[in-house]
Amino acid sequence: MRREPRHWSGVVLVILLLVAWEAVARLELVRALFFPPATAIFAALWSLTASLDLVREYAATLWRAAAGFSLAACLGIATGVVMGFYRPAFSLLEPLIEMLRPIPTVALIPVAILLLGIDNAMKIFVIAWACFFPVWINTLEAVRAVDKELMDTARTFRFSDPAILAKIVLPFASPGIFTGLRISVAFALILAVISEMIAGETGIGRFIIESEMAFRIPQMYAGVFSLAIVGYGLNRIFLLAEQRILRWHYASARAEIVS
Amino acid sequence: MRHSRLSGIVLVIVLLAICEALSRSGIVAKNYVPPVTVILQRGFELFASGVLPTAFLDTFKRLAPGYVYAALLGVGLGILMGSIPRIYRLFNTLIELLRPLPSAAIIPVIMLFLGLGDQMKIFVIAWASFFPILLSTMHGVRSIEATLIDTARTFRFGGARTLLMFVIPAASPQIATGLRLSVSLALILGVTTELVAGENGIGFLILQAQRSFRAADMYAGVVTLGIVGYLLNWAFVTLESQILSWHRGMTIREIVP
Amino acid sequence: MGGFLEVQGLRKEFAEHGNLVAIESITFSVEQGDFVSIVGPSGCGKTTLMRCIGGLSRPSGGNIMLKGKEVTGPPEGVVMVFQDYSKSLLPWRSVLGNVTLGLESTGELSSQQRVDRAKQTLEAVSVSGFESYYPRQLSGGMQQRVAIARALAFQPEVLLMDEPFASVDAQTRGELEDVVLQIWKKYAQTVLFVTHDIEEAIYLATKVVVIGARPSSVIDAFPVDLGPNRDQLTTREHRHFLDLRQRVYRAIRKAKDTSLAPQSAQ
Repeated sequence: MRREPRHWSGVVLVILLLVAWEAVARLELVRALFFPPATAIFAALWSLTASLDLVREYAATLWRAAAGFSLAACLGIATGVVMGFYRPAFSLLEPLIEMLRPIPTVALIPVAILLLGIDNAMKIFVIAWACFFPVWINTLEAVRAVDKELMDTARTFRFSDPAILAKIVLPFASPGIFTGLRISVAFALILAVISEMIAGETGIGRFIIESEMAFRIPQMYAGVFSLAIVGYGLNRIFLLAEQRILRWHYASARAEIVS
Repeated sequence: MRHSRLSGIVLVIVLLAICEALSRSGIVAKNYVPPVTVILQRGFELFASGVLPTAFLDTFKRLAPGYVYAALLGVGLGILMGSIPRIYRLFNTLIELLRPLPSAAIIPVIMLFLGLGDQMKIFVIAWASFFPILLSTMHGVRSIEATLIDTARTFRFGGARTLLMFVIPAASPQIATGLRLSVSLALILGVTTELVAGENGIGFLILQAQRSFRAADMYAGVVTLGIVGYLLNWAFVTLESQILSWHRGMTIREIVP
Repeated sequence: MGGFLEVQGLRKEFAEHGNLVAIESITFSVEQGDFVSIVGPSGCGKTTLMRCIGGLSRPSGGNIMLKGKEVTGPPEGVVMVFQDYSKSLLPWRSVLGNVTLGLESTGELSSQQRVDRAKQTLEAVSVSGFESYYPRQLSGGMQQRVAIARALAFQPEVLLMDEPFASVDAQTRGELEDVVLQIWKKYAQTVLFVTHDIEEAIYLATKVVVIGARPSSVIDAFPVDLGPNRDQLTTREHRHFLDLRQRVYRAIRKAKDTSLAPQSAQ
């Protein structure tokens, strides 16, 4: 794949904005309390990381996110494969899932609080709910996109259904499945944070809200920025894992021919 | 491909009946999961008394402006960034840095500057809706076939007319997709802001119902929200298929070989 | 010198592909009303040449003179028909809407006049009756006819056709070749026609220019004396036709053997 060259003008813009931020903050053009200098925020970020405070909060958040994500992944892939492969399963489950899908996950947070309290169970439920649908639909569509002819060929060779699933369907559907999983990773993180902001005692979401209420503003900003970094990092890691596992899929050479 | 969803609909009805039975018999505490019929009844009551419509109106009062700002800015900047490499290079780094930041995470920050009221919520909704629209538009414009642009050039159309007559129509499927996806996102963020710092709106209604242990009200609100979200999406899809009927499926009917 | 269209020492390099020299030096001239076929092996830069003549690409060296003025951008009175018609026709416009497209750029004609002109040209390419259809509803051959009609409606002095029939099946190709000949006779433009099909090149042309492999130059050029009335069956079996065909084959083969051009692109 062609690498995009570094966009220097873009980098310069970002640097200029940071400098402007610093200037505006130090000159107190905006209320100092709300607008700490960028350097103060980076300092806070640094010290929070060094003191392991941030690490502790993220541990709580990420383990919940991972738990919810794993639950949703298993359920979503299983349902997606079964529904994509067996028409009767599709007819049976599709109306139920489609009725549940339009409900925004955040709207279920109060329901989850009522039924499961304000701690991990509620959060993991909410995260799993949000992550289920992208995984499910991407799996479903990926399985359905598998060449009918390919499966018919396998059947003429007397492959059993489980064997077809394992040897043909899953490999072919795996890029699509991974796309669904990757989308869900982002959802897992954000739903974890939102549920922590609304209720609970631990986690980065809680940390950000508490910092704000205690007017530890640079810490609050630091927390918010760290989310961007962690989110980006998770996405990159996932992409790398995806490319490793799906190496065969990405091995497409692009030939540019001048004619 | 139409296929029978009968078994699925039966399943839903059966599940609802089971919930009803479990609740009425007391096996599941009524204050956690009221009977389905009670929820429906409460839903009608809240609708008739105007409580639900008012709540939705309050939410939409913020949703609409936020979404519209995001759409105008997103499509505008998307077209500029997609068609002018210089502008793309200038803004892309910034956009790529801002993108991984989950929109809900900026709620505390914006609360500092804009308080807890409508302004904050509109800003957050606009921020969240902006990125998918920008990215889809940019992608749509950038992935335009070179041959199409060559056609514009060989007929000597100027830059502005090329944009209007070639680029925007060609990118419109992707732009439409971005606009459609952002509606769901806008709704989600709208509800989230109400959960975190709300005084009115459907999200606030649901949360208040939970806090006051009015379970039936809470469920009624959630279900209505789901219906509204579905209708919103349906409306966009229908609009899309009308305007973009030319794009629907590239199945070629051979008229004359 | 001083012909209608002059290509003089044209050179084209591509910096982003490691300074690939697509065209070394191409020189030929075209008289008004000529039908010039440009033929050569795949990858020899024929499309690049056309793009330069059509003003869509800037030459790295040499120049192109049309009616005494240098070509620096899409020149007035010149229209190009592209190989990939499916990407060139506007899918959101009907056939009629597509054909009137070019006329909208000048704004000289009224809307009714544009429609009339479009209908005329659609008739000339035998696509009457499909005005309200959309491109995706038509077969490949018909889509290309619409693209040709669109160029025609513009009433260009020079028509550039870049392998227009390469993506069309063999039988349809014959029909389309005759359509192009009819149009040329009726409207008397100057036509430059790029193809890799040697027989097609000779069948259509009054003059053939043969381009060698990359980095390319003109390896042969000659007039075609087959008269104005061509026929798919008889002309292609005419003695002169076969002679010319041999001539082109030999020229291309010789150029391939002696050329130092690098092999197929990466």
